[in-house]
Amino acid sequence: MILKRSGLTAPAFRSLTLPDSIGRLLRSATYLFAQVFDVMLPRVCMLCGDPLPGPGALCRDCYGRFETIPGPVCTCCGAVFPSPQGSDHLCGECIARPAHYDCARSAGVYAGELRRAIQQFKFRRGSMLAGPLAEFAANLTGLGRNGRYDALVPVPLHTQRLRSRGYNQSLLLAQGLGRLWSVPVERDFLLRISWRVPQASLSRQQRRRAVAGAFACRDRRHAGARLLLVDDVFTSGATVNECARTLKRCGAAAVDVLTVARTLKDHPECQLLSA
Amino acid sequence: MLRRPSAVLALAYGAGIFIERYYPVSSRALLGAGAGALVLALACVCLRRATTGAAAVVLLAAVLGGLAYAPFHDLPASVKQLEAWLHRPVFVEAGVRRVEPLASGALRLTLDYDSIETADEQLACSGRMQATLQKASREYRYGQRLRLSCRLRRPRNFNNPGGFDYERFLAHRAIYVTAFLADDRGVIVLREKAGRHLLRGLERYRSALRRLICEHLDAPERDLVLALLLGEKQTLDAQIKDRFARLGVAHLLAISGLHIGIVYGLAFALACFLLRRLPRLFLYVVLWKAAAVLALVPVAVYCCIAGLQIPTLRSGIMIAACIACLLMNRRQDALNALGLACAAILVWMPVSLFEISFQLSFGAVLFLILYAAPAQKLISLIEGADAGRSRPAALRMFRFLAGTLAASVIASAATAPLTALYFQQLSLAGILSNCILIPAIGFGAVPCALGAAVLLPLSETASAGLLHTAALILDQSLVWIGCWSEIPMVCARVAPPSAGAMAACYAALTLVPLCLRKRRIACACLLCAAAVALWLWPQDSRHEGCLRVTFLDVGHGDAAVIEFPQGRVMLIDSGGVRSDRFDTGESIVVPALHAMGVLDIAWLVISHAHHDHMAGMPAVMAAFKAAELWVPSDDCRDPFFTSIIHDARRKGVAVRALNSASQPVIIDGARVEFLSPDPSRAGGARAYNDVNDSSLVIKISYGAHAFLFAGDIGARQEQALLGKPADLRAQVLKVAHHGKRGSSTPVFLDAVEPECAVFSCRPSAGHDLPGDVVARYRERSVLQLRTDAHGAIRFISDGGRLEIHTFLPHGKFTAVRH
Repeated sequence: MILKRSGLTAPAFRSLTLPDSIGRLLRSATYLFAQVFDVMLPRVCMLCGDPLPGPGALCRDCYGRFETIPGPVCTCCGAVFPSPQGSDHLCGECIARPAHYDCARSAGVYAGELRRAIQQFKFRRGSMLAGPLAEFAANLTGLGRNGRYDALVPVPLHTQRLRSRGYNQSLLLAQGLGRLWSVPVERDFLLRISWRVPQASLSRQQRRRAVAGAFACRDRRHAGARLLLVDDVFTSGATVNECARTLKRCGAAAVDVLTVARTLKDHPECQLLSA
Repeated sequence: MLRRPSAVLALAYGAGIFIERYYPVSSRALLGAGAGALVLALACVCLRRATTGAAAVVLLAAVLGGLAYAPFHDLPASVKQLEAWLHRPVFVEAGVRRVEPLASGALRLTLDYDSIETADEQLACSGRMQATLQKASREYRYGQRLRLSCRLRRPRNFNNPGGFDYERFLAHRAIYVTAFLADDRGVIVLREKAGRHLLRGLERYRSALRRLICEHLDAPERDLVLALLLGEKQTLDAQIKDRFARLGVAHLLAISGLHIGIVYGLAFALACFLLRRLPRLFLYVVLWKAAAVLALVPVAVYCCIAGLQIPTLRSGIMIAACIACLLMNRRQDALNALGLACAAILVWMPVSLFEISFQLSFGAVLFLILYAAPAQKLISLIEGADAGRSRPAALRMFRFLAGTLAASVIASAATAPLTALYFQQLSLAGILSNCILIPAIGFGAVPCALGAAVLLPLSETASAGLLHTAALILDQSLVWIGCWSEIPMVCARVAPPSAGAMAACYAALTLVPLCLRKRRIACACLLCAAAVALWLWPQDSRHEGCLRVTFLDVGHGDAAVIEFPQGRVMLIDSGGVRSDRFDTGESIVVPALHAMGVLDIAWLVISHAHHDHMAGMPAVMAAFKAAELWVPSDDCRDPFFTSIIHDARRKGVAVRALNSASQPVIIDGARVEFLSPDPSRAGGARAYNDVNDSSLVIKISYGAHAFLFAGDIGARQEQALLGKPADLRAQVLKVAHHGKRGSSTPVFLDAVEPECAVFSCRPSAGHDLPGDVVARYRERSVLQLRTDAHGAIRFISDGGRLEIHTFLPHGKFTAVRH
């Protein structure tokens, strides 16, 4: 359990087969080190800085303040229906223009505390938030249980963007999920080959046009596989849709989409954003 | 405690070390307390009592700190067995550990000895010693194995207020024995290549670098580059050091946390720049984590080039500990990370706590962290006033400048009490000069010099080019420093704060940011602390209406400070050793006067023209403003004496020749009489004894008490004094000629009838004062006080009551019962 916390359960480490005694010794040394480390540098909530009683990275309060997606939602794109009654069904948009992915789910609403967390994660060297956000996404979407996926594919950044940011936030999320579910992560299977203006300033239509043909797959190694596309925020769905199209063209049998948060049309904070 | 355990534990551990150093507790009591704390902590774990358990752990940390320092109180057994081998000619076999060139051209060698022998016996023992080699005719470096013919001795302190604790300073470096060699005729190199291979290679590299620097640069830039790059600041010119200190930037001369921090910051920026060329890498690692690790490489290189000296390594550890926190994917409290670094260093080297560089580095960083948030708030408040009107570039510029200035103010304020304590000065220009010189030297000269060091194996030309660039920057800085340090108000001399004042200052500095939300409490804290600090600051000058006479311990020589009832000061003699290596005035008398809170001296007195009475005068005259200089005669052929007289006249000090014909002077109700020499024989003395006999003998009477300063007069002059009408009787007699046999004749003692005799002496090693002289005083039941045994000796008279205080054995003035 502690091993998991120290981040040493990456598949590469697991596959090493050590003689049993050495392994046990190493494990207890790591345990001791982690204990001392935990005492000297206690875990604090990465958002509010309060000390944490147990393992994890976010305190109960901050976690509780993340706004979750209310039901019912579209069975395909995950859009939230305005009325709280009824069951999940396809939305008009998905019927009119079916998406390339099979099912997209988000864990929370891109507002409030969660929005603050994601922005810190993306823009302010907050790469350490990847673990807790991945955990949040995994717990609340219900995707990925029972080994449903053959591989996790992060939405790629263009080289230029990767260079300026220094990391791909989707990749870090995918790695977090991969560690939770023990599913391999494809670092560079999907590539972004064109780079245009950042999407935040574009309308829905423009976004779709902007991302058309922006992605490519490295090869056909995942022909017939079930893939999960991972991203941080679902806004119009244009980006993940284009990614899913590319993946399916390269032979993927099924592509689901998991994002940590999504914008809601009638949420006051999200409207502010789109305006 | 739960939020910042490292900081609390480091504080407790440090407190344990501190308490053990100044208020030693026996090891047995410490062990008992430690066991108790451990049991309590375990019990609390079982009973789940968090608060009590935390307290027990804190106590345990403090006890461990005390135990870590306890061994430094006693001599190690290996040194005790050397006792019989001291002060006699021996052969020592030792490996060279470190070589430091000194300003005078001498070398200071730190050696690890493992065998000591004389012609007929041998002692196998190991330890560390320090040897000073006055004149070296060959090169010495790490890894050599030497055989030295020398006399070993134990280092000895001069025990004065404000004195430097040299014994403990060396003990903290595990050095308990020293030796002095005039030249290296008594040194044989047995082997060239002993010691560790890696360190030898490093030392070779350092000497190549040193050669390159010496080839291409001239003093003073050469010495500055040597100090900044190789950490050899002993060769720096004293005047340059003084100028840096006056401007409050002396910390730039030592390789401290600041330099290491700057190198780390620059390396981090460079690593980010380079890594961005390889974006594919970021599929595997996060940019700034990789850059943080890569940037440690130049820091390690710097530590190596600087000779793996302890202060540099300490700064390296501090940075590495902070990086480790970041890399472990934890959002970390800065104070806690600093606490972890502090704890790591203290566990590794408990004595670091008492080193000035450690205190300054950690003090500055601690208060920068504490005040970061309030300072930011203040800046954004000012910024908010005209944020709408200014352009973003201007705003960014403002933010940068304000941030720099705020950091400089905070760091200066945090270190001010420490600089007042150690250097007895407060630099008022520090805030501004730091803003200018840290970028120039830290971001300009140091990286250039470091680049030169790294390029040396590749291209000597490029390396030399970079060195010249560094020298250019340093040259400009020196010009600037030269101009600014001459401004009279940049630096204020202060009396060192007392322990209480220090505590009050730091309590206020810590409490203000913590109670900032409750503004009234913060103000009240600040006011209280300021009041306490002001009340306690001048440690020693609360004896209004008393005559205070302090005989300083200057080894073999005289120096007595007389503080008259209204605070005016007279210094009778200032003598002792004066050589290239050691200046009594600079190293003993001036710091002691500063520590006593003396700010200027009204009368300087030289009793006669011998070095043991005047060697320190030039330094004293340079450090203090004096009104008059009293001498027995101003026509003396001693060149040193003549130079002092010239110097005094040039500075506008009135030189007065006094003798027994001079009128007594009344100062603040104390009567100062001149008993000797006779006007007829005052001048022209040339023979050793004649000069001694022409000493100015002064008697100072205050109320019922009299002090007789007999100079170095011998039996003949004592006899002559008896024939005079003057009243010789005195309660306190400064024994003539340091207690030598030719003086203190019985008739003279009978005439003086002293109650107390002060021997200002330090007989050479293995000798003692002449037995018959001591017996003469004992027969008359005179209280004998010796500066070599009692340290500085102080008499306080209010005219009716006489108190005697000695500096030893407690390391502060304590009353003697008699």
